[in-house]
Amino acid sequence: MNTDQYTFEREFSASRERIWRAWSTLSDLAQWWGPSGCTVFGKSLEFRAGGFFHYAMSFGEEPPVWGRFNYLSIVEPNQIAWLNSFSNESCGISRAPFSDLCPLEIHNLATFTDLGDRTKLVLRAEPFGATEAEIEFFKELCETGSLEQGLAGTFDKLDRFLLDRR
Amino acid sequence: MSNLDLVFGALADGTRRAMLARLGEGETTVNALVALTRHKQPTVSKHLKVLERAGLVMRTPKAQYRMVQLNPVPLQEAELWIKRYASLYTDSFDRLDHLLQDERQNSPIEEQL
Repeated sequence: MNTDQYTFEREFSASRERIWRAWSTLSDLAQWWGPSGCTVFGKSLEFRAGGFFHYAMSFGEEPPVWGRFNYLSIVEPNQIAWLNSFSNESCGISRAPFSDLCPLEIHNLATFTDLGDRTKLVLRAEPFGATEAEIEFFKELCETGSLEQGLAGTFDKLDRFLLDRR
Repeated sequence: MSNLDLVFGALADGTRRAMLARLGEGETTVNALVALTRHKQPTVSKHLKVLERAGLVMRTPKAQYRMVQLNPVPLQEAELWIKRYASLYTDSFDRLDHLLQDERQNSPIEEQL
């Protein structure tokens, strides 16, 4: 098994046609894509292989952080492959604002399975063209989101440490 | 290398995370960290240097012991960024789920289940 790969599975109570629209229209994408606690502004979308989804993520008063999808292939209505990265205001690729150790691009493959009035999504994510150190960073990032170990454990202890000193 | 890179680099090692976790409970001695990690003292000193360079620990001479103390400020900055992006996928899918649910509830022709 390739441990640099992360798979997310989810069932949505909506038709595959509806899910496809949520992934292929600018207004829908801006409503749901992005980390929690941020407001996404969808600047542009060219939903075709070679095209880009370009968006800005705003966290409160801070200057926005830009991101982009670079679509590799689109097979309607069941598969979308794209490279996700941070970007600048002009949709040029850029490093993560917080660390040069974060992989420059993440390769994503989303597959939609029609279950009648429900749709199953399987999303596979892995670093693209990353160095050893960047792959390690990505693993830590993914595990922080799901497991009580590694960075997440360290941060939990930090939170308790700070709480104790309040 | 930015300071956050030094912090993330320092955090990318299990021994150093264990040392930080111990320091989160209060200041301690180098000897106590040697006992905790079961590494030899020169190895522990090397790890401490990495943590020190990232600004995560401070060493203060106290009586005849060299005490080691946690400095949480760089950790807080790293935590802010990581926690934002760590659950990007699950957070996004939660929001997608809500978007679809709201639509069902607001749709007059949708069957009431």
